[in-house]
Amino acid sequence: MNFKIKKDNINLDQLVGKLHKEDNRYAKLCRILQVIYWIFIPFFTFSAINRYIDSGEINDLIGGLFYVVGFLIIAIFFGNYHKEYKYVDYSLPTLKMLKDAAYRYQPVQLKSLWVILAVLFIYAGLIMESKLDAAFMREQLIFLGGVVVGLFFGLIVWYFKYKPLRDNALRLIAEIEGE
Amino acid sequence: MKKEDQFNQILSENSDRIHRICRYYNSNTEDQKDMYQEVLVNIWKSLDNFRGDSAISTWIYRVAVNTSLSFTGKTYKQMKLIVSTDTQNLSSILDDEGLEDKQKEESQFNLLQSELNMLSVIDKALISLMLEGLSMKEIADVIGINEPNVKVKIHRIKAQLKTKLSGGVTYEL
Repeated sequence: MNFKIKKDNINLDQLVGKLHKEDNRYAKLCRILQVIYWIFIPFFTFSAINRYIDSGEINDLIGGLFYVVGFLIIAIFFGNYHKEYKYVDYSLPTLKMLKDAAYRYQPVQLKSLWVILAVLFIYAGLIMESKLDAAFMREQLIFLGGVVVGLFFGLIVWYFKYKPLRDNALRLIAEIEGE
Repeated sequence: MKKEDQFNQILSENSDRIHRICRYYNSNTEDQKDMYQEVLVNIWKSLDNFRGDSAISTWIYRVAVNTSLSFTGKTYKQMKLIVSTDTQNLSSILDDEGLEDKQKEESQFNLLQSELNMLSVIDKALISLMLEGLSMKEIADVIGINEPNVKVKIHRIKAQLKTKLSGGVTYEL
């Protein structure tokens, strides 16, 4: 949040209005995630069941449900992720706030395992629904290529944007904790 | 009480306090205003987490000091601790050093100002809280370390400043 109010004195009403707006924007994002939870996930579940009824193949059902589980994990993860980053608590003791920041900005966290799990579910869904032919190999390559490229760009963003913040937080922690 | 009312009440009671903290870190009035606004934004963001476990003044100092550490658009090395000769508790830094006359006092304060600007950002935070008249325990609550540790750090900063102000060349203590 970075508001610029071009007045000699800060207009409190204007500031509070913008803060309310920001809160509303966050509430809107939460509602979008709820749409994913309550519309897309039941829709894909229904679609998987429907395909199973049509084809009679259990792989279609399991594959479809794997997709659903993958999407569900991602939706929950991003909901929590956004909340954590949006509302950094500045009223914590400085040392605690810095330690939280250092944890938040580390490249791999324990909770990242949830994203890996989600990707594995989607990958498993892809395999279950595919047949062993040339298209299968192409799909595998596209999927794995996408994961690798995503990981690569994620690390670049982390290195240039978040690593300096983490390094600075660690330096300040060392300074506070040192004698 | 509505969040907005609570926010307004906190501001009406602590506006001067927040302004002072912002002045410690910025000589430029525009930067002071920007940081003041940033502190207000962070107070709003953190207000839902206020449980009343600590005094509201301690809570405000935490938000202000933490904001100063991550103040938008500032690099940490550029941040300066700005003190004026009428700062109420400034003499507490040089408490046991009697100053002979007004001229020497002014010169000492200018030198002190310059040396304070050389402090690390954490040391600046500690000194700014001390200048605000907070007790060692209150400073410990804000920073998140124990009271003896705060005493050691402030003692070290004072000793470092005294060495420099007395013309000593010892920079490591």
